[in-house]
Amino acid sequence: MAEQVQKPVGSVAPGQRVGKLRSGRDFSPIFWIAMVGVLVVLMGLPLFWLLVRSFSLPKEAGVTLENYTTVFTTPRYLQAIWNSLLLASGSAALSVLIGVPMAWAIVRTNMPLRGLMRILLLVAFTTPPFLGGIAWMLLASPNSGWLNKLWLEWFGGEKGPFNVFSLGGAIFVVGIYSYPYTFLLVSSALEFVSSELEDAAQVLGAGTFQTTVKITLPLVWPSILSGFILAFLEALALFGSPTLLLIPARTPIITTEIWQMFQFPPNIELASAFAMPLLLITAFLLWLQRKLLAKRNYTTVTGKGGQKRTLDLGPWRWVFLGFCLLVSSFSLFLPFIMLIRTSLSKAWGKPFEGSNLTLQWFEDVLFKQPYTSLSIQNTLLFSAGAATFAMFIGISIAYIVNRKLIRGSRFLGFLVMTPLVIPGIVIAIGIFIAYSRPPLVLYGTGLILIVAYTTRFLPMAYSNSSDIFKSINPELEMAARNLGSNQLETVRKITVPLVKRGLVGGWILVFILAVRELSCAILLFSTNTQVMPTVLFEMVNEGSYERVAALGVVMLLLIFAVVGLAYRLLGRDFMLDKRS
Amino acid sequence: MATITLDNLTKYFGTHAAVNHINLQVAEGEFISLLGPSGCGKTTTLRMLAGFMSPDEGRILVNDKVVSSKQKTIPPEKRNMSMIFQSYAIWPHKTVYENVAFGLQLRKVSKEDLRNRVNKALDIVRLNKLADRYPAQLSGGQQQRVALARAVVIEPEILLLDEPLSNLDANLREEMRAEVRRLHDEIGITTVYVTHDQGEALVTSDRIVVMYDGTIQQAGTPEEIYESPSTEFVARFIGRCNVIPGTLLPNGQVDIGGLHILAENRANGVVTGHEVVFSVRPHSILMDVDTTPGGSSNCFPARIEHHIYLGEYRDYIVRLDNTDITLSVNTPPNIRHTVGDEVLVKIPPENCRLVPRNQQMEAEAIKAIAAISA
Amino acid sequence: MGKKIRGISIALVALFLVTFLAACGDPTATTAPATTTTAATTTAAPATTTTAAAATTTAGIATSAADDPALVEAAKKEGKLVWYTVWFNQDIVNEIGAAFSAKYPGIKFEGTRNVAATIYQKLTQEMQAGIKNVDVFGTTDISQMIELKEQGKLLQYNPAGKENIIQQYRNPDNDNNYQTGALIPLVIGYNTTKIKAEELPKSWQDLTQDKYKDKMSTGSGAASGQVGTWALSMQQKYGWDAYFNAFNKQNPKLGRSINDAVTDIVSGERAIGIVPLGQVLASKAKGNPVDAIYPSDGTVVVVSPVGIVKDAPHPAASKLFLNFLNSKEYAELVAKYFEQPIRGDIAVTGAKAIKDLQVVTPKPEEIRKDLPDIIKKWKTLFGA
Repeated sequence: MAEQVQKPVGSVAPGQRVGKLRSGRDFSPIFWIAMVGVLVVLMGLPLFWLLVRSFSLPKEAGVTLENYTTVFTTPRYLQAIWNSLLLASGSAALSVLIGVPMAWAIVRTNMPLRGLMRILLLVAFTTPPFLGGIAWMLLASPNSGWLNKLWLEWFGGEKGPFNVFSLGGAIFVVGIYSYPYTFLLVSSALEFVSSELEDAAQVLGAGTFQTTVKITLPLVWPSILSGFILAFLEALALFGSPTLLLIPARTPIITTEIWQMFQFPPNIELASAFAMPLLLITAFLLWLQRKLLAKRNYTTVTGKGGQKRTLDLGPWRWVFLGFCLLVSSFSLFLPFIMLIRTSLSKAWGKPFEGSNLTLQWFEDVLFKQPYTSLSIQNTLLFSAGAATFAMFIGISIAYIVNRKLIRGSRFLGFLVMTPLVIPGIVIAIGIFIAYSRPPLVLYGTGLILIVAYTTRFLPMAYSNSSDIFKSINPELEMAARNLGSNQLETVRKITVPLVKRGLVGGWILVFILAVRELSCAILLFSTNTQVMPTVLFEMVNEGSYERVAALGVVMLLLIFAVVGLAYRLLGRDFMLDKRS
Repeated sequence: MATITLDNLTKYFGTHAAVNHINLQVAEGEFISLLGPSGCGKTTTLRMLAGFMSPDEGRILVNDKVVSSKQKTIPPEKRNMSMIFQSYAIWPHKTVYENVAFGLQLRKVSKEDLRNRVNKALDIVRLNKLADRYPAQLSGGQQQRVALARAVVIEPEILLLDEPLSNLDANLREEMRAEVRRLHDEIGITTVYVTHDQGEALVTSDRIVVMYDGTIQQAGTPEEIYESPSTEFVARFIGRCNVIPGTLLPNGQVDIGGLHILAENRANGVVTGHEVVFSVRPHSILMDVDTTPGGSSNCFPARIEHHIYLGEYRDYIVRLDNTDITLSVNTPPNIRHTVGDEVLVKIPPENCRLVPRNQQMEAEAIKAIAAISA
Repeated sequence: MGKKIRGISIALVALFLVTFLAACGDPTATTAPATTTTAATTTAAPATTTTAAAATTTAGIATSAADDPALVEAAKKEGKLVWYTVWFNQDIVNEIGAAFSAKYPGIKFEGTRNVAATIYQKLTQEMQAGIKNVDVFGTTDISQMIELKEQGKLLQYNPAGKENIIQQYRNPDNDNNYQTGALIPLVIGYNTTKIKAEELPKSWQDLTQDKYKDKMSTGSGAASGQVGTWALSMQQKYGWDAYFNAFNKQNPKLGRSINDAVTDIVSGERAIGIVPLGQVLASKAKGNPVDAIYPSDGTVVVVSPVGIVKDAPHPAASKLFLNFLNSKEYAELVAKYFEQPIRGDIAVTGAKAIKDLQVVTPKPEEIRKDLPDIIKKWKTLFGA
């Protein structure tokens, strides 16, 4: 108090906010500190409990390494780790084999229908992989699968060649939904490769093929590597389709094992310990990726002539188009046809004809089944809630970090990105432990799912907001502050309206990701908080595929409606590019 | 080493002829520049030459063998040419050495031979000490030199350069101009150089081909181009020039805005009684010479309207008395006048060039030239 | 809409049957008058119930609390019943709910069905978190029920109508913590187009033969209470290693729920399934090419208990529901779906009656003792 009195009127200490003197009450600092608190609790609490529980036993006190010993000495768990690595590397390799040629053909060549292919890619990107898994169960079950039946009809024989219930089958199904990751990274890298770099090689005597192999691909090698790692990590953390396909194949993987530890009789402590290898592999790979990329400076040197010329593929363009269409058939056409067909059949095993047609399953899942209609409401509600929370916290943190409002804001930027390194099912374990005990008992309420989604997708919300803030000149805010608006008010009245469009894009991105999210929800839902992915997952176990297909179609329509709306409002790239 | 023949070469973009029936002979070992404003067709010509594009009409012959025609175009990799790009196109994922070695590796040169030749090429461009660096660690000029080494190391028959210096800053550009020419003199390769910078073209070339709107306006030595432009475009485009439309009178004088003036240097196509363009360079006009005014001596009284001192010379804008004609006159610094002074200017007839008038071109050329200077 | 009307009319038929049954005690002669009166009396249904209740009490035949108006009133005030169950499938559960709601209008019914391991995990998680959501819990793994009883998490209740339950299943728990709610005979189901008659297995033992390699499907012994009980029976009969090592060699497809195995044989994905009898018969009745074999070494009957959760938010409705499970209308509804009723007086078309079967049923205490071990062994051997 005394100090304040002594200050001469009108003098302002360096760094002090001018606006504060005028408006009198400025809650901005309190708000910023509160946001930081929320972030620390959101990220820290689950990880803390995960760690603590992994070192304890179910009903005993004290610290123990027993869970870790169990994980690393039980052959079955070691087998699961090994299988997970196989699944992840297999599907990541597949995603590279699909994504890279596709990116090259779409970005650099005159292959026909490139625009359509980009749209199909977006569709594949937003399709929940477990729905694809379900569709592929119908398509390629060893005996009853539609493709196998067709095969037998055409070529005869005892048994069709396709078996989706196998590690190979799971690699395939996961791979055909993870190639968009590789594609997105590689294609945006290819966009930046100047044609002159290729022309230079051609003029020196390299043919198109040689140029592609020796110049173009090595140039985008870092993004191919990143794409591989990203696809690898996605597959490693994936729960839905591997579980549906590999449990009947009796091939254990990490996520399935963790989930089973949440079944009766539960062993949350062991699950916490088993989450660690998953966490370590993920962290190690991301570290490796950084290390590898830092070794060489790949900054593409381009001058003014960095324009891109379309490569004439000649007749090969039809080969590439065929390839792209084949991939789309695997990831989209065949599964969607199968789902729609099944959803409209009275019995999916019977021929698709008049007497077998019905809309009853849609009526059933939309109006009759109490838990399916509830799950639709829940999905929309929780996803919207999570998108709102995530964007709100994301903007706030992004603002603090970008404008360096507090000391250590860089650490905040790091903290907010951590969920990217943590597989969904691991986040779910942490959240389950953290919020099913006093003082915060959220289990059984929708809030726990909203918190989980928010935590999981906060990195996307943050990086989205951060990108936008970087593009806004701070002087626009300074001008407002200068005129007497306090900081929070400035953000609300000046900054947020400026970035509205970008924020809507971020919101929709988180919303869609949350609608599709299974690996988190599967451990956290209770009877009244079921969401569409968990209901679908449980219904598959019932064997009621017509109903599954109908709810799946409803879910796809919902997602595509939102994506389509965003596409119209915000343009093609609204949800791409933001992932890495 | 090779000769190049462009025979009626034509390329359409849509209905617009980007390159419009051009004919050109390039001699063995000659250094030739394609000069013109952007959109004039020079880069398109170069890309056809390199094999990146096929002509829609006409042919390209190298050593009298057709390499490009509408029917068949040999792909770039089979032409044994080298090209240097505006962006240098240095591969960022390869070291300097690997960049230079690439072309030789494709040619399956023995290891030892390859090493020797790469090292020699790096010596020529004075980069031997940076062989293991990655391009991102090099300056712009060094990158350009890598591009040069990479292009010449394969000993191509023809070297193509596409605005290679336009990304460099002014000082470096001057240095590299000389470097390019030195390299050419050292290995004597047939070289085609595309640029919009006349300074570059004048310094480096044996012959300059001025292009405009898909056509060749003039091809000649730097002196010919500079001193004897053959079209209105060239007259306006090359160097600074006073350009005034007029009519050629039967007595050999030119009527410009009522003033009759003698011009002895005439381009083909200048016809008596028709509209012509009179041009004279500012430094060819004399001021304060001891002579009497009159049509026969090409001496005219004038008034100083504007004056800029540029150190090496003075730049005056003068208005010829009783006319609307203003001329830019450059004088040695010792000739001093202030605005409003009455002076006498002498326009030596042998320095006055007449070219045929092309009204449509006038407007477009002014636009194009304005674009370049901006 | 159509389905709803049908549901209501079924409920009405059932209602009348009960009334008549209570009145004259003759189970066989009462169908005709009931069917004639169904359509017209939807609104009169509750009234009929009360009358019937009055009739029964005066007749003094049973201690029918279902007919206790105070209980019905209390239940209606509660307005809702939440049932977690493992029996049957979601469709039948929904029908049971419809019948219950029709009998006691004003009581909303929420029934959710899943495999034993999943639903029990949800139940215990919710209990730990202090969430009071579920009223009645029905499972196929009796060890879960015993565990809940030991922990004092069940509400003791002796429902009305128990005297009609087949004698041996009438009193699963002397303290009335739980009752028998369903009987599920497990049989060998098969797809008639996928396997020749002469190649059909006759016993569980046969399933270990090499000729059934890649041809079988069932659920997970770790997740499904039914498969777990079956596995325990096989262990008791043949020993774990002897039976399951050979069974494992035949590479059966193992989903999670046993219901999925029915889908597998219907679709022809597999030729043979270890499946619940009722679902095979129901599918057969729909015209699917499936049939059932009663294994010569014993049909495994899974005695499925049901109990009221201690903290049930709707205790009166729960009691009413337990009474309802003992009712004839429940038995007939279940029988309509080819599931075995717990009453001996209702037969299932096309199915052998329990009393005519050679039945294998592990004792509850055996299940309590051995099933957790079976689950572990199953996971080790089969992966899930």
